[in-house]
Amino acid sequence: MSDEQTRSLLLAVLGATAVWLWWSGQALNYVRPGLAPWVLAGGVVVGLLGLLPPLGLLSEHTAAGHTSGHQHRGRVGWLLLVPVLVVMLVQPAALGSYAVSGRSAVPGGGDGGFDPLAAPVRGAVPMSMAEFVTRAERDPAQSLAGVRVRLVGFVAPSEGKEGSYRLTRFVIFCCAADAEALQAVVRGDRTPRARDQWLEVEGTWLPRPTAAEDDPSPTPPALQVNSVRPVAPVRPPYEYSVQFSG
Amino acid sequence: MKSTLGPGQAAQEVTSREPRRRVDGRLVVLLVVVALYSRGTLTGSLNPVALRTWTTVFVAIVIQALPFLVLGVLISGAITALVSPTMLARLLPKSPALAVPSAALAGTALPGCECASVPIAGRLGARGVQPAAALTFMLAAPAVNPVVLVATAVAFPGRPEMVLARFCGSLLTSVTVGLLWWRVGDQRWVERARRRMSSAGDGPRWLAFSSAARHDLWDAGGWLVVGAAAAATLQVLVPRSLLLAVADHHVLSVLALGGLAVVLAICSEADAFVAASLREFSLTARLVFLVVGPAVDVKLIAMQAGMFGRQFAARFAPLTFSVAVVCAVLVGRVLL
Repeated sequence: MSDEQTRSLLLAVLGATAVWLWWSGQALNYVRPGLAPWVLAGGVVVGLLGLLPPLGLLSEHTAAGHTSGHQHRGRVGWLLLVPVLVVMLVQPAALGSYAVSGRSAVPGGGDGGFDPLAAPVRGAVPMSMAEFVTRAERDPAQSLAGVRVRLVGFVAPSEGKEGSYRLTRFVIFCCAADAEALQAVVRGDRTPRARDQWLEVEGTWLPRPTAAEDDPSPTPPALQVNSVRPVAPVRPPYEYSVQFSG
Repeated sequence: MKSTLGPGQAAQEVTSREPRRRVDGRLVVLLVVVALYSRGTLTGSLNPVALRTWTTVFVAIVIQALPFLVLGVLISGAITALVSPTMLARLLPKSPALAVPSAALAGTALPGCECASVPIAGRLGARGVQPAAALTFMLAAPAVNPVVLVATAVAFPGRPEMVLARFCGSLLTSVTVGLLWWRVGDQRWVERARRRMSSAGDGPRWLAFSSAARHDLWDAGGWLVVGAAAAATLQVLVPRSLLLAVADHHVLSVLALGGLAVVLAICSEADAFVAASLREFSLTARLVFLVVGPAVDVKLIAMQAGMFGRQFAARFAPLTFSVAVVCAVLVGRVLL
Protein backbone atom coordinates (compact mmCIF):
# COMPACT_ATOMS: atom_id res chain seq x y z
CA MET A 1 0.00 0.00 0.00
CA SER A 2 1.53 3.31 -1.02
CA ASP A 3 1.45 6.39 1.17
CA GLU A 4 -0.99 7.98 -1.23
CA GLN A 5 -3.36 5.03 -0.94
CA THR A 6 -3.17 5.10 2.84
CA ARG A 7 -4.02 8.80 2.76
CA SER A 8 -6.97 8.03 0.52
CA LEU A 9 -8.11 5.37 2.95
CA LEU A 10 -7.89 7.73 5.91
CA LEU A 11 -9.86 10.42 4.04
CA ALA A 12 -12.52 7.85 3.13
CA VAL A 13 -12.76 6.72 6.75
CA LEU A 14 -12.94 10.32 7.97
CA GLY A 15 -15.73 11.03 5.49
CA ALA A 16 -17.57 7.87 6.54
CA THR A 17 -17.24 8.91 10.20
CA ALA A 18 -18.84 12.29 9.48
CA VAL A 19 -21.66 10.62 7.52
CA TRP A 20 -22.20 8.15 10.37
CA LEU A 21 -22.36 11.01 12.90
CA TRP A 22 -25.13 12.55 10.81
CA TRP A 23 -26.92 9.27 10.19
CA SER A 24 -26.94 8.18 13.85
CA GLY A 25 -27.92 11.62 15.12
CA GLN A 26 -24.74 11.73 17.23
CA ALA A 27 -23.80 14.91 15.40
CA LEU A 28 -26.37 16.69 17.55
CA ASN A 29 -24.14 16.08 20.57
CA TYR A 30 -21.63 18.43 18.98
CA VAL A 31 -23.31 20.91 16.64
CA ARG A 32 -26.65 22.67 16.27
CA PRO A 33 -29.23 20.85 14.08
CA GLY A 34 -28.90 23.42 11.28
CA LEU A 35 -25.28 22.42 10.81
CA ALA A 36 -25.90 18.64 10.72
CA PRO A 37 -26.71 18.45 6.98
CA TRP A 38 -23.49 20.32 6.31
CA VAL A 39 -21.59 17.76 8.35
CA LEU A 40 -23.10 15.14 6.01
CA ALA A 41 -22.16 17.16 2.92
CA GLY A 42 -18.64 17.71 4.22
CA GLY A 43 -18.28 14.00 4.97
CA VAL A 44 -19.46 13.03 1.49
CA VAL A 45 -16.97 15.38 -0.17
CA VAL A 46 -14.08 14.19 2.03
CA GLY A 47 -15.03 10.58 1.27
CA LEU A 48 -15.18 11.29 -2.48
CA LEU A 49 -11.78 13.00 -2.38
CA GLY A 50 -10.49 9.80 -0.80
CA LEU A 51 -12.21 7.46 -3.26
CA LEU A 52 -12.37 9.05 -6.70
CA PRO A 53 -9.69 8.55 -9.32
CA PRO A 54 -7.10 9.63 -10.31
CA LEU A 55 -5.72 9.85 -6.78
CA GLY A 56 -8.32 8.07 -4.67
CA LEU A 57 -8.70 4.45 -3.68
CA LEU A 58 -10.76 3.57 -6.75
CA SER A 59 -8.07 4.61 -9.22
CA GLU A 60 -5.85 2.28 -11.21
CA HIS A 61 -2.98 1.47 -8.90
CA THR A 62 -0.45 2.97 -11.30
CA ALA A 63 -2.04 6.36 -10.88
CA ALA A 64 -1.25 6.38 -7.19
CA GLY A 65 2.31 7.37 -7.95
CA HIS A 66 1.24 10.41 -9.95
CA THR A 67 2.10 13.17 -7.60
CA SER A 68 3.53 11.57 -4.50
CA GLY A 69 7.03 12.06 -5.86
CA HIS A 70 6.63 15.79 -6.46
CA GLN A 71 4.49 17.13 -3.74
CA HIS A 72 5.67 17.83 -0.27
CA ARG A 73 3.18 16.15 2.03
CA GLY A 74 3.08 17.08 5.68
CA ARG A 75 3.02 14.33 8.26
CA VAL A 76 0.58 16.35 10.33
CA GLY A 77 -2.32 15.09 8.20
CA TRP A 78 -2.05 11.71 9.90
CA LEU A 79 -3.52 13.41 12.96
CA LEU A 80 -6.87 13.29 11.15
CA LEU A 81 -6.93 9.75 12.52
CA VAL A 82 -7.28 11.17 16.06
CA PRO A 83 -10.85 12.52 15.82
CA VAL A 84 -11.87 9.34 13.96
CA LEU A 85 -10.56 7.18 16.78
CA VAL A 86 -12.03 9.43 19.48
CA VAL A 87 -15.44 9.28 17.81
CA MET A 88 -15.31 5.50 17.42
CA LEU A 89 -13.85 4.55 20.77
CA VAL A 90 -15.18 7.18 23.14
CA GLN A 91 -18.34 8.30 21.34
CA PRO A 92 -18.26 11.49 23.41
CA ALA A 93 -21.64 12.24 24.96
CA ALA A 94 -23.35 15.61 24.99
CA LEU A 95 -21.98 18.01 27.59
CA GLY A 96 -23.18 17.10 31.07
CA SER A 97 -23.01 18.33 34.64
CA TYR A 98 -19.24 18.10 34.76
CA ALA A 99 -18.91 20.77 32.10
CA VAL A 100 -21.03 23.33 33.93
CA SER A 101 -18.28 24.94 35.95
CA GLY A 102 -17.37 28.32 34.53
CA ARG A 103 -19.95 28.10 31.75
CA SER A 104 -23.05 29.31 33.54
CA ALA A 105 -24.68 32.33 31.98
CA VAL A 106 -27.75 34.49 32.03
CA PRO A 107 -28.98 35.18 28.52
CA GLY A 108 -29.54 38.76 27.53
CA GLY A 109 -33.17 39.76 27.39
CA GLY A 110 -34.59 42.13 24.83
CA ASP A 111 -35.00 45.72 25.94
CA GLY A 112 -38.49 45.96 24.54
CA GLY A 113 -40.29 43.85 27.16
CA PHE A 114 -41.49 40.26 26.98
CA ASP A 115 -44.15 38.50 24.94
CA PRO A 116 -47.11 37.07 26.85
CA LEU A 117 -46.62 33.58 28.30
CA ALA A 118 -47.70 30.57 26.23
CA ALA A 119 -50.94 28.82 27.17
CA PRO A 120 -50.70 26.18 29.91
CA VAL A 121 -50.66 22.53 28.79
CA ARG A 122 -51.91 19.95 31.31
CA GLY A 123 -51.89 22.51 34.09
CA ALA A 124 -48.47 24.11 33.57
CA VAL A 125 -46.79 26.42 31.06
CA PRO A 126 -44.07 24.48 29.21
CA MET A 127 -41.02 26.60 28.56
CA SER A 128 -37.36 26.36 27.69
CA MET A 129 -34.73 26.92 30.35
CA ALA A 130 -33.62 29.98 28.40
CA GLU A 131 -37.07 31.51 28.64
CA PHE A 132 -37.41 30.67 32.33
CA VAL A 133 -34.01 32.08 33.31
CA THR A 134 -34.38 35.19 31.17
CA ARG A 135 -37.87 36.01 32.43
CA ALA A 136 -36.79 35.38 36.01
CA GLU A 137 -33.69 37.52 35.77
CA ARG A 138 -34.60 40.26 33.34
CA ASP A 139 -38.35 40.85 33.30
CA PRO A 140 -39.26 43.95 35.33
CA ALA A 141 -42.95 43.00 35.02
CA GLN A 142 -42.25 39.64 36.73
CA SER A 143 -44.40 37.71 34.27
CA LEU A 144 -43.44 34.42 35.93
CA ALA A 145 -44.82 35.30 39.36
CA GLY A 146 -47.37 32.73 40.51
CA VAL A 147 -47.31 30.82 37.22
CA ARG A 148 -46.87 27.07 37.28
CA VAL A 149 -44.21 26.17 34.70
CA ARG A 150 -42.85 22.90 33.30
CA LEU A 151 -39.10 22.66 32.66
CA VAL A 152 -36.85 19.89 31.36
CA GLY A 153 -33.17 19.57 32.19
CA PHE A 154 -30.57 17.43 33.89
CA VAL A 155 -29.30 17.42 37.47
CA ALA A 156 -26.14 19.30 38.37
CA PRO A 157 -24.94 19.69 41.95
CA SER A 158 -25.76 22.95 43.69
CA GLU A 159 -23.32 25.36 45.22
CA GLY A 160 -23.40 26.03 48.96
CA LYS A 161 -26.67 25.79 50.86
CA GLU A 162 -29.02 27.12 48.22
CA GLY A 163 -30.96 23.92 47.58
CA SER A 164 -30.61 20.29 46.76
CA TYR A 165 -29.55 20.58 43.11
CA ARG A 166 -29.71 22.75 40.01
CA LEU A 167 -31.80 21.86 36.98
CA THR A 168 -29.49 22.53 34.04
CA ARG A 169 -29.57 22.78 30.29
CA PHE A 170 -26.84 23.86 27.89
CA VAL A 171 -27.53 26.38 25.18
CA ILE A 172 -25.24 26.26 22.15
CA PHE A 173 -24.91 28.70 19.28
CA CYS A 174 -22.78 26.82 16.79
CA CYS A 175 -21.08 23.86 18.47
CA ALA A 176 -20.49 22.43 21.93
CA ALA A 177 -17.33 24.52 22.26
CA ASP A 178 -19.43 27.64 22.77
CA ALA A 179 -21.95 26.07 25.15
CA GLU A 180 -23.29 28.01 28.11
CA ALA A 181 -25.19 26.55 31.04
CA LEU A 182 -28.68 27.72 32.01
CA GLN A 183 -29.60 26.74 35.54
CA ALA A 184 -32.44 26.90 38.04
CA VAL A 185 -32.07 26.05 41.72
CA VAL A 186 -34.65 23.39 42.61
CA ARG A 187 -36.31 23.68 46.04
CA GLY A 188 -38.69 21.22 47.64
CA ASP A 189 -37.60 17.94 46.05
CA ARG A 190 -36.92 15.48 48.89
CA THR A 191 -35.75 12.61 46.70
CA PRO A 192 -32.00 12.47 46.14
CA ARG A 193 -31.30 12.74 42.42
CA ALA A 194 -28.35 11.28 40.56
CA ARG A 195 -26.02 13.62 38.74
CA ASP A 196 -26.91 14.01 35.04
CA GLN A 197 -30.35 12.42 35.52
CA TRP A 198 -32.84 14.13 33.19
CA LEU A 199 -35.97 15.43 34.92
CA GLU A 200 -39.22 17.07 33.99
CA VAL A 201 -40.21 19.38 36.83
CA GLU A 202 -43.29 21.46 37.47
CA GLY A 203 -43.21 24.31 39.92
CA THR A 204 -43.39 28.01 40.59
CA TRP A 205 -40.69 30.61 40.42
CA LEU A 206 -39.54 32.07 43.75
CA PRO A 207 -39.51 35.79 42.98
CA ARG A 208 -36.70 38.10 43.90
CA PRO A 209 -35.58 41.45 42.54
CA THR A 210 -34.29 41.41 38.94
CA ALA A 211 -30.56 40.98 38.68
CA ALA A 212 -28.32 44.00 38.31
CA GLU A 213 -26.95 44.35 34.78
CA ASP A 214 -23.36 44.16 35.95
CA ASP A 215 -23.58 41.38 38.52
CA PRO A 216 -20.84 39.04 37.27
CA SER A 217 -22.28 35.78 38.57
CA PRO A 218 -25.78 36.08 40.00
CA THR A 219 -27.24 33.01 41.70
CA PRO A 220 -29.56 31.23 39.27
CA PRO A 221 -33.30 31.76 39.76
CA ALA A 222 -35.01 29.34 42.13
CA LEU A 223 -37.99 27.08 41.52
CA GLN A 224 -40.34 25.68 44.21
CA VAL A 225 -41.32 22.34 42.70
CA ASN A 226 -44.63 20.50 42.98
CA SER A 227 -43.83 17.48 40.88
CA VAL A 228 -40.65 15.89 39.58
CA ARG A 229 -40.58 13.13 36.99
CA PRO A 230 -37.42 11.41 35.71
CA VAL A 231 -37.40 11.30 31.89
CA ALA A 232 -35.17 9.82 29.22
CA PRO A 233 -32.36 12.12 28.02
CA VAL A 234 -33.88 14.65 25.67
CA ARG A 235 -32.89 14.69 22.00
CA PRO A 236 -31.53 17.01 20.78
CA PRO A 237 -29.67 17.58 24.04
CA TYR A 238 -29.19 21.34 23.84
CA GLU A 239 -31.26 24.47 23.55
CA TYR A 240 -30.29 26.58 20.61
CA SER A 241 -31.36 30.15 21.00
CA VAL A 242 -31.49 32.70 23.73
CA GLN A 243 -33.29 35.22 21.58
CA PHE A 244 -36.96 34.58 22.11
CA SER A 245 -38.32 37.78 23.54
CA GLY A 246 -39.48 40.88 21.71
CA MET B 1 -5.47 9.78 21.47
CA LYS B 2 -5.25 12.71 23.80
CA SER B 3 -2.91 14.46 21.45
CA THR B 4 -0.72 16.89 23.30
CA LEU B 5 1.46 17.52 20.30
CA GLY B 6 2.27 21.24 20.36
CA PRO B 7 2.16 23.20 17.13
CA GLY B 8 5.88 23.82 17.38
CA GLN B 9 6.79 20.21 17.85
CA ALA B 10 4.74 19.02 14.95
CA ALA B 11 5.93 21.80 12.66
CA GLN B 12 9.47 20.68 13.27
CA GLU B 13 8.50 17.18 12.33
CA VAL B 14 7.03 18.38 9.09
CA THR B 15 10.06 20.33 8.02
CA SER B 16 12.96 18.32 9.30
CA ARG B 17 12.34 14.70 8.41
CA GLU B 18 13.75 14.25 4.93
CA PRO B 19 13.56 11.63 3.64
CA ARG B 20 10.39 10.82 5.53
CA ARG B 21 9.55 7.38 6.68
CA ARG B 22 6.43 5.93 5.18
CA VAL B 23 3.48 5.33 7.43
CA ASP B 24 2.43 1.76 6.90
CA GLY B 25 -1.07 1.68 5.50
CA ARG B 26 -1.77 -1.63 7.18
CA LEU B 27 -1.26 0.01 10.57
CA VAL B 28 -3.98 2.55 9.81
CA VAL B 29 -6.33 -0.18 8.59
CA LEU B 30 -5.62 -2.26 11.69
CA LEU B 31 -6.27 0.71 14.02
CA VAL B 32 -9.55 1.51 12.32
CA VAL B 33 -10.72 -2.11 12.33
CA VAL B 34 -9.85 -2.53 16.00
CA ALA B 35 -11.58 0.77 16.79
CA LEU B 36 -14.71 -0.27 14.90
CA TYR B 37 -14.73 -3.63 16.67
CA SER B 38 -14.43 -2.06 20.11
CA ARG B 39 -16.77 0.77 19.30
CA GLY B 40 -17.82 2.74 22.36
CA THR B 41 -15.82 0.63 24.80
CA LEU B 42 -14.27 3.70 26.37
CA THR B 43 -17.60 5.50 26.79
CA GLY B 44 -18.14 6.54 30.38
CA SER B 45 -14.87 5.05 31.56
CA LEU B 46 -12.86 8.20 30.96
CA ASN B 47 -11.37 9.64 34.11
CA PRO B 48 -10.84 12.29 35.25
CA VAL B 49 -14.19 13.62 34.12
CA ALA B 50 -12.52 16.71 32.67
CA LEU B 51 -11.38 14.37 29.92
CA ARG B 52 -15.02 13.65 29.03
CA THR B 53 -15.66 17.33 28.50
CA TRP B 54 -12.40 17.50 26.58
CA THR B 55 -13.41 14.77 24.12
CA THR B 56 -16.81 16.37 23.50
CA VAL B 57 -15.37 19.84 22.92
CA PHE B 58 -12.55 18.46 20.77
CA VAL B 59 -14.84 16.45 18.51
CA ALA B 60 -17.30 19.37 18.41
CA ILE B 61 -14.65 21.79 17.11
CA VAL B 62 -13.41 19.34 14.48
CA ILE B 63 -16.91 18.35 13.29
CA GLN B 64 -18.14 21.92 13.27
CA ALA B 65 -15.12 23.05 11.26
CA LEU B 66 -15.25 20.17 8.75
CA PRO B 67 -17.88 21.63 6.36
CA PHE B 68 -16.09 24.99 6.32
CA LEU B 69 -12.73 23.35 5.80
CA VAL B 70 -14.20 21.36 2.92
CA LEU B 71 -15.63 24.53 1.39
CA GLY B 72 -12.19 26.09 1.72
CA VAL B 73 -10.33 23.23 0.04
CA LEU B 74 -12.89 23.01 -2.77
CA ILE B 75 -12.37 26.70 -3.50
CA SER B 76 -8.60 26.38 -3.26
CA GLY B 77 -8.78 23.41 -5.63
CA ALA B 78 -10.87 25.46 -8.03
CA ILE B 79 -8.39 28.34 -7.83
CA THR B 80 -5.59 25.96 -8.75
CA ALA B 81 -7.47 24.31 -11.61
CA LEU B 82 -9.27 27.26 -13.13
CA VAL B 83 -7.41 30.45 -12.27
CA SER B 84 -4.05 30.92 -13.92
CA PRO B 85 -1.41 33.23 -12.42
CA THR B 86 -1.59 35.48 -15.50
CA MET B 87 -5.33 35.86 -15.05
CA LEU B 88 -4.86 36.88 -11.43
CA ALA B 89 -2.11 39.29 -12.36
CA ARG B 90 -4.45 40.99 -14.83
CA LEU B 91 -7.28 41.17 -12.32
CA LEU B 92 -5.40 42.47 -9.31
CA PRO B 93 -3.86 45.90 -8.89
CA LYS B 94 -0.08 45.83 -9.22
CA SER B 95 0.73 47.97 -6.23
CA PRO B 96 0.25 46.35 -2.81
CA ALA B 97 -1.10 49.69 -1.58
CA LEU B 98 -4.13 49.04 -3.79
CA ALA B 99 -4.10 45.25 -3.79
CA VAL B 100 -4.35 45.00 0.01
CA PRO B 101 -7.59 47.01 0.39
CA SER B 102 -9.12 45.21 -2.61
CA ALA B 103 -8.27 41.88 -1.02
CA ALA B 104 -10.00 42.98 2.19
CA LEU B 105 -13.13 43.95 0.26
CA ALA B 106 -13.00 40.68 -1.69
CA GLY B 107 -13.28 38.99 1.70
CA THR B 108 -16.89 40.13 1.95
CA ALA B 109 -17.80 37.61 -0.75
CA LEU B 110 -16.73 34.38 0.97
CA PRO B 111 -19.49 33.13 3.25
CA GLY B 112 -17.46 30.94 5.55
CA CYS B 113 -15.49 30.98 8.74
CA GLU B 114 -11.78 31.11 9.41
CA CYS B 115 -11.03 27.44 8.71
CA ALA B 116 -11.93 27.98 5.06
CA SER B 117 -9.80 31.04 4.51
CA VAL B 118 -6.39 29.66 5.54
CA PRO B 119 -6.01 27.14 2.68
CA ILE B 120 -7.50 29.64 0.23
CA ALA B 121 -4.97 32.29 1.24
CA GLY B 122 -2.17 29.76 0.80
CA ARG B 123 -3.39 28.90 -2.71
CA LEU B 124 -3.81 32.54 -3.66
CA GLY B 125 -0.22 33.13 -2.59
CA ALA B 126 0.87 30.09 -4.59
CA ARG B 127 -0.92 31.42 -7.68
CA GLY B 128 1.01 34.67 -7.57
CA VAL B 129 -1.15 36.97 -5.47
CA GLN B 130 1.05 39.33 -3.45
CA PRO B 131 1.68 37.83 0.00
CA ALA B 132 0.38 40.93 1.79
CA ALA B 133 -2.88 40.79 -0.19
CA ALA B 134 -3.32 37.04 0.41
CA LEU B 135 -2.81 37.54 4.15
CA THR B 136 -5.25 40.44 4.19
CA PHE B 137 -7.83 38.27 2.47
CA MET B 138 -7.21 35.54 5.04
CA LEU B 139 -7.89 37.97 7.91
CA ALA B 140 -10.84 39.77 6.35
CA ALA B 141 -12.88 36.94 4.82
CA PRO B 142 -14.01 35.21 8.04
CA ALA B 143 -14.95 38.49 9.73
CA VAL B 144 -16.70 40.69 7.21
CA ASN B 145 -18.79 38.28 5.13
CA PRO B 146 -22.60 38.61 5.10
CA VAL B 147 -23.29 35.46 7.13
CA VAL B 148 -21.15 36.66 10.03
CA LEU B 149 -22.58 40.18 9.90
CA VAL B 150 -26.16 38.89 9.93
CA ALA B 151 -25.30 36.61 12.87
CA THR B 152 -23.91 39.64 14.69
CA ALA B 153 -27.07 41.63 14.01
CA VAL B 154 -29.18 38.76 15.37
CA ALA B 155 -27.01 38.42 18.48
CA PHE B 156 -27.18 42.14 19.25
CA PRO B 157 -30.82 43.05 18.62
CA GLY B 158 -31.43 46.80 18.62
CA ARG B 159 -27.73 47.58 18.30
CA PRO B 160 -26.96 47.90 14.58
CA GLU B 161 -23.90 49.98 15.46
CA MET B 162 -22.28 46.75 16.72
CA VAL B 163 -22.48 45.26 13.21
CA LEU B 164 -20.95 48.37 11.68
CA ALA B 165 -18.25 48.48 14.37
CA ARG B 166 -17.37 44.85 13.75
CA PHE B 167 -17.20 45.37 9.98
CA CYS B 168 -15.00 48.47 10.31
CA GLY B 169 -12.81 46.99 13.04
CA SER B 170 -12.05 43.81 11.11
CA LEU B 171 -11.57 45.58 7.78
CA LEU B 172 -9.20 48.07 9.42
CA THR B 173 -7.30 45.25 11.13
CA SER B 174 -6.84 43.20 7.96
CA VAL B 175 -5.73 46.18 5.86
CA THR B 176 -3.34 47.43 8.56
CA VAL B 177 -1.75 44.00 9.02
CA GLY B 178 -1.49 43.57 5.24
CA LEU B 179 0.22 46.94 4.75
CA LEU B 180 2.52 46.41 7.75
CA TRP B 181 3.49 42.99 6.40
CA TRP B 182 4.17 44.51 2.99
CA ARG B 183 6.43 47.21 4.47
CA VAL B 184 8.28 45.35 7.21
CA GLY B 185 7.30 41.70 6.95
CA ASP B 186 9.46 38.94 5.59
CA GLN B 187 8.01 37.68 2.32
CA ARG B 188 9.88 34.40 2.53
CA TRP B 189 7.28 32.68 4.65
CA VAL B 190 4.63 33.04 2.02
CA GLU B 191 7.18 32.00 -0.60
CA ARG B 192 7.49 28.77 1.34
CA ALA B 193 3.83 28.00 0.85
CA ARG B 194 4.25 28.87 -2.82
CA ARG B 195 7.14 26.45 -3.25
CA ARG B 196 5.31 23.67 -1.47
CA MET B 197 2.26 24.06 -3.62
CA SER B 198 3.80 24.94 -6.95
CA SER B 199 3.91 21.40 -8.29
CA ALA B 200 0.17 21.05 -7.94
CA GLY B 201 -1.66 22.53 -10.84
CA ASP B 202 0.03 20.77 -13.75
CA GLY B 203 -1.77 18.31 -15.91
CA PRO B 204 -5.49 17.94 -16.59
CA ARG B 205 -7.86 20.17 -14.68
CA TRP B 206 -9.61 17.46 -12.70
CA LEU B 207 -6.27 16.07 -11.55
CA ALA B 208 -5.09 19.56 -10.60
CA PHE B 209 -8.33 20.20 -8.73
CA SER B 210 -8.46 16.96 -6.77
CA SER B 211 -4.76 16.94 -6.04
CA ALA B 212 -4.83 20.51 -4.68
CA ALA B 213 -8.00 19.90 -2.68
CA ARG B 214 -6.62 16.68 -1.19
CA HIS B 215 -3.33 18.31 -0.36
CA ASP B 216 -4.98 21.23 1.43
CA LEU B 217 -7.47 19.02 3.22
CA TRP B 218 -4.62 16.86 4.43
CA ASP B 219 -2.46 19.70 5.72
CA ALA B 220 -5.06 22.12 6.99
CA GLY B 221 -7.11 19.25 8.43
CA GLY B 222 -4.13 17.93 10.38
CA TRP B 223 -3.43 21.37 11.81
CA LEU B 224 -7.09 21.82 12.58
CA VAL B 225 -6.85 18.71 14.76
CA VAL B 226 -3.84 20.19 16.57
CA GLY B 227 -5.67 23.48 17.06
CA ALA B 228 -8.88 21.82 18.23
CA ALA B 229 -6.92 19.79 20.78
CA ALA B 230 -5.23 22.95 22.06
CA ALA B 231 -8.51 24.87 22.26
CA ALA B 232 -10.28 22.01 24.05
CA THR B 233 -7.42 21.73 26.54
CA LEU B 234 -7.46 25.46 27.30
CA GLN B 235 -11.24 25.44 27.64
CA VAL B 236 -11.07 22.67 30.20
CA LEU B 237 -8.09 24.09 32.11
CA VAL B 238 -8.78 27.84 32.15
CA PRO B 239 -11.90 28.70 34.15
CA ARG B 240 -13.95 31.56 32.74
CA SER B 241 -14.52 32.94 36.22
CA LEU B 242 -10.90 34.08 36.09
CA LEU B 243 -11.93 36.55 33.38
CA LEU B 244 -14.97 37.91 35.15
CA ALA B 245 -12.73 39.18 37.92
CA VAL B 246 -11.29 41.84 35.60
CA ALA B 247 -14.54 42.87 33.89
CA ASP B 248 -14.61 46.28 35.56
CA HIS B 249 -11.10 47.29 34.66
CA HIS B 250 -10.88 49.13 31.32
CA VAL B 251 -7.51 47.98 30.01
CA LEU B 252 -7.54 44.55 31.60
CA SER B 253 -11.04 43.75 30.40
CA VAL B 254 -10.05 44.54 26.81
CA LEU B 255 -6.98 42.34 27.03
CA ALA B 256 -8.93 39.61 28.83
CA LEU B 257 -11.58 39.36 26.11
CA GLY B 258 -8.89 39.51 23.42
CA GLY B 259 -7.19 36.62 25.19
CA LEU B 260 -10.49 34.76 25.56
CA ALA B 261 -11.05 35.00 21.80
CA VAL B 262 -7.63 33.44 21.20
CA VAL B 263 -8.22 30.66 23.73
CA LEU B 264 -11.81 29.72 22.88
CA ALA B 265 -11.24 29.46 19.11
CA ILE B 266 -14.94 29.84 18.38
CA CYS B 267 -16.19 29.85 14.81
CA SER B 268 -16.68 33.41 13.59
CA GLU B 269 -20.31 32.64 12.80
CA ALA B 270 -21.01 31.90 16.46
CA ASP B 271 -18.79 34.28 18.36
CA ALA B 272 -21.28 37.17 18.28
CA PHE B 273 -23.66 35.12 20.44
CA VAL B 274 -20.95 34.44 22.97
CA ALA B 275 -19.99 38.11 22.95
CA ALA B 276 -23.62 39.07 23.51
CA SER B 277 -23.73 36.86 26.60
CA LEU B 278 -20.62 38.47 28.12
CA ARG B 279 -22.81 41.18 29.58
CA GLU B 280 -20.42 42.09 32.37
CA PHE B 281 -18.03 43.58 29.85
CA SER B 282 -18.21 46.91 28.06
CA LEU B 283 -19.31 46.97 24.41
CA THR B 284 -15.79 47.98 23.38
CA ALA B 285 -14.28 44.98 25.17
CA ARG B 286 -16.81 42.73 23.43
CA LEU B 287 -15.94 44.33 20.10
CA VAL B 288 -12.31 43.41 20.76
CA PHE B 289 -13.50 39.81 21.25
CA LEU B 290 -15.27 39.90 17.87
CA VAL B 291 -12.37 41.48 15.98
CA VAL B 292 -9.60 39.33 17.47
CA GLY B 293 -11.45 35.99 17.23
CA PRO B 294 -11.64 35.56 13.45
CA ALA B 295 -8.10 36.92 12.98
CA VAL B 296 -6.10 35.01 15.56
CA ASP B 297 -6.92 32.05 17.80
CA VAL B 298 -5.13 28.86 18.79
CA LYS B 299 -6.75 26.84 16.01
CA LEU B 300 -5.77 29.45 13.41
CA ILE B 301 -2.23 29.77 14.74
CA ALA B 302 -1.82 26.02 14.31
CA MET B 303 -3.24 26.10 10.77
CA GLN B 304 -1.10 29.09 9.78
CA ALA B 305 2.00 27.42 11.21
CA GLY B 306 1.19 24.48 8.96
CA MET B 307 0.55 26.60 5.88
CA PHE B 308 3.33 29.17 6.17
CA GLY B 309 5.71 27.73 8.75
CA ARG B 310 6.30 27.99 12.45
CA GLN B 311 8.43 31.13 12.31
CA PHE B 312 5.79 32.91 10.30
CA ALA B 313 3.12 32.09 12.86
CA ALA B 314 5.37 33.19 15.73
CA ARG B 315 5.59 36.68 14.17
CA PHE B 316 2.21 36.97 12.52
CA ALA B 317 0.05 36.00 15.52
CA PRO B 318 1.37 38.65 17.97
CA LEU B 319 1.32 41.30 15.23
CA THR B 320 -2.27 40.48 14.31
CA PHE B 321 -3.35 40.34 17.94
CA SER B 322 -1.91 43.79 18.76
CA VAL B 323 -3.27 45.40 15.61
CA ALA B 324 -6.71 43.85 16.14
CA VAL B 325 -6.91 45.06 19.75
CA VAL B 326 -5.84 48.60 18.83
CA CYS B 327 -8.18 48.80 15.81
CA ALA B 328 -11.14 47.47 17.79
CA VAL B 329 -10.58 49.93 20.63
CA LEU B 330 -10.27 52.84 18.18
CA VAL B 331 -13.42 51.85 16.29
CA GLY B 332 -15.20 51.26 19.60
CA ARG B 333 -14.27 54.78 20.72
CA VAL B 334 -15.80 56.30 17.60
CA LEU B 335 -18.87 54.12 17.06
CA LEU B 336 -20.00 52.63 20.38
